[in-house]
Amino acid sequence: MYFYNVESPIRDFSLSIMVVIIFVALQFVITYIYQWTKSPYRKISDLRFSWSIFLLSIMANIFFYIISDFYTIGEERMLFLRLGSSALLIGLAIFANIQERALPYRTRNIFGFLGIVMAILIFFIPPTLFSILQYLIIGVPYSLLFILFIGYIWKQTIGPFRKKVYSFVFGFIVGLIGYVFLTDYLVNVLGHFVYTFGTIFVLSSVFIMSVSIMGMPSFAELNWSQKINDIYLIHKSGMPLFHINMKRKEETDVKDKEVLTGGALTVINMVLQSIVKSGKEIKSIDQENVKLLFGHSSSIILVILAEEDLEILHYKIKQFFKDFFELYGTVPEDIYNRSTFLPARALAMKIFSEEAQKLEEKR
Amino acid sequence: MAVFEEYSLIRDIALSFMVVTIFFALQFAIYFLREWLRTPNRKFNDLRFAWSFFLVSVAFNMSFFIMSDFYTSGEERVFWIRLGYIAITAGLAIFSNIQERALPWNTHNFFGIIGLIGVMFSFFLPHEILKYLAFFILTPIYIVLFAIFARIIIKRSVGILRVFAFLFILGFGISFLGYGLEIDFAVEAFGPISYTIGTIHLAVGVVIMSFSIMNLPSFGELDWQRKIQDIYLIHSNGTVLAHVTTTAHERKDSSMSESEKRAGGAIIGIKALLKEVTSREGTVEAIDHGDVKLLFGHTDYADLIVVSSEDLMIIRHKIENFIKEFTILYKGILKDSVEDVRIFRPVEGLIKRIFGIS
Repeated sequence: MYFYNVESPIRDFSLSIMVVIIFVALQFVITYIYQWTKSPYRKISDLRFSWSIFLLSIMANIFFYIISDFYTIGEERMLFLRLGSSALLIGLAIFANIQERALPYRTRNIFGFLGIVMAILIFFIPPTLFSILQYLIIGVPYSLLFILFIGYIWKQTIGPFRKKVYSFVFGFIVGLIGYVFLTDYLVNVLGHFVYTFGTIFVLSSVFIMSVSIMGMPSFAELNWSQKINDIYLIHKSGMPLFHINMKRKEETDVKDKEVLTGGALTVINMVLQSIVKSGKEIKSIDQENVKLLFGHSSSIILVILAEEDLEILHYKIKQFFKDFFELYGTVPEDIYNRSTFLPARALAMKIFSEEAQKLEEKR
Repeated sequence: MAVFEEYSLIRDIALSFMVVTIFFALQFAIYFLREWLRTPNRKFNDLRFAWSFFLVSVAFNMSFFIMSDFYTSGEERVFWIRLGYIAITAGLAIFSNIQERALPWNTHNFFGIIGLIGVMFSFFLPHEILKYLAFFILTPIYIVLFAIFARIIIKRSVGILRVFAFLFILGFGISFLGYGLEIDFAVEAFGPISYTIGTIHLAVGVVIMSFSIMNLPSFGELDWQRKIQDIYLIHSNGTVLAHVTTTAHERKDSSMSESEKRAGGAIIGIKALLKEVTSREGTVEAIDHGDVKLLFGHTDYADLIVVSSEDLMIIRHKIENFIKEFTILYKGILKDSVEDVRIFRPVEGLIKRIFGIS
């Protein structure tokens, strides 16, 4: 029943806030999908992408709740309530399906599967049990998923990201309370104003959680910089132009070993090229626990020694070359003058270190 | 009589969109105010600052119009309409007052004063006169002001900024149409549906305009790139490490010309002299030389000097960006003496990128 045929400012206020929730969610969906499509190493498992899908389900959920709570009654109302809950469950199932793959726990996609099953079953729950059951179905398992998800991000993040996790958790709790306030049971006991509070809580929750997500790293991007061991910039002649040991983050003087390494890497590149008789250049070498990732441009080669062959590292290699040529124009001729490449080394340090990137993002 | 006497779907949509507009106006107002507060050397004539004021006035205006058009009638309605007019004319007066200063000619704050007169009239003029005054006098005056701004921002903006300038104008057009559809004349002519369509236009217009302003510098700073003449990076010993000029002739080789070397020595000399004269340890931020300004950025062993025809906030912001990037690249490399100037070759690329010089 709720606000059906009710005429009061509380009804108008609640309805308006429900509509505001839809538009605020839409604002974040547009922002995140736009950012995602612009991202050069986008993945479906990207947090912002899955969050946009979830926000779309919230929009559908709120839309159906508006029809059920403001414009319909009886059986018709029940149908829209079911549609609303089903929309939310589908959104949760997709979000879970995407994020479960990125989680290190073997959840076997149970949350995704559960969401879809429940999205169908919700149409068959008797009306008397609907209210309590839908909250048990949505609230309990998905709170557990959110705890797992937040726990994982918490463990993996440091510094400023942690604050985002705090605010995300806060937003989540506010949202849960908001949805509880929207239930028939509480409105019947405490009156219509509880519903109004519920809408304000849900609105705040969507806002807080979406803003927090803006500053959170994607699973694909988590800890990528810690997986890099060494970075070499080598001239095609075999001369190493710089070497960074990412574990120590220090530049050592050109040692014989590095000259040898530089030469060896160039030779590997040349030999492989002649063996495979391909005009193309080597992209990566997988040597059990070490991966060698190559980037070629003009007469220089950038080699990353990493523990994993991550897509983001290939993107970073491209970014390095783009910035390098923006700064230098062409490869300097005096390759034996090491100081010429000191700015390039600092550039590599900046691009391949997460702290520097975080600072950039903050700006 | 209120616009919506009875509860209906059209009424609900109109009301919801009014609240959506209020929410977005406040959200963007907070965003712009925060941006402005974070800006070093912030000025009151910054577009973002003025715009956040205007958005707050829009939010108030909408709230009062909700009261007048949805919940009241008779004298009470007129009271809320008055408050709505006061809010929007006050917002326009403040916005005009701030932005008129950025216009290339002296308007003697005409539009700001008109806004103030509008506020006063809204207090005591009978509603029957007020509504004609608002429609036939205030509205055309502010359309003129807007047309002037539109002409300036389109003329001055280049590249992507021009796209945002057009977007801003489009957003204004949509909002203006929205307001037009909401007024009593339109509702009497087309019915309450006109009001509902008006609210949707307003919400869309406010979002588009705010999104454009997010990407536009202040009106007076739109053509900042054209104001820059030369950019020097000079070592504290007077050596010119990099020089980028926006004037037509480019250097053929990478070595510095005699005049460039002289410029480097002269600027460092001036800096030292100023320190001597003022007996202060502080650093020089800007030198105003009539039609040419020298704007400074400092690092441990080098100074960036931008020679520009105007001291603009956006150029100062770019200088700051440069100093940050330069420090990342040259930390530990730049010392108290320069052994090899060639190391600084990438600096020209960095300057060109940050200051958008091709």
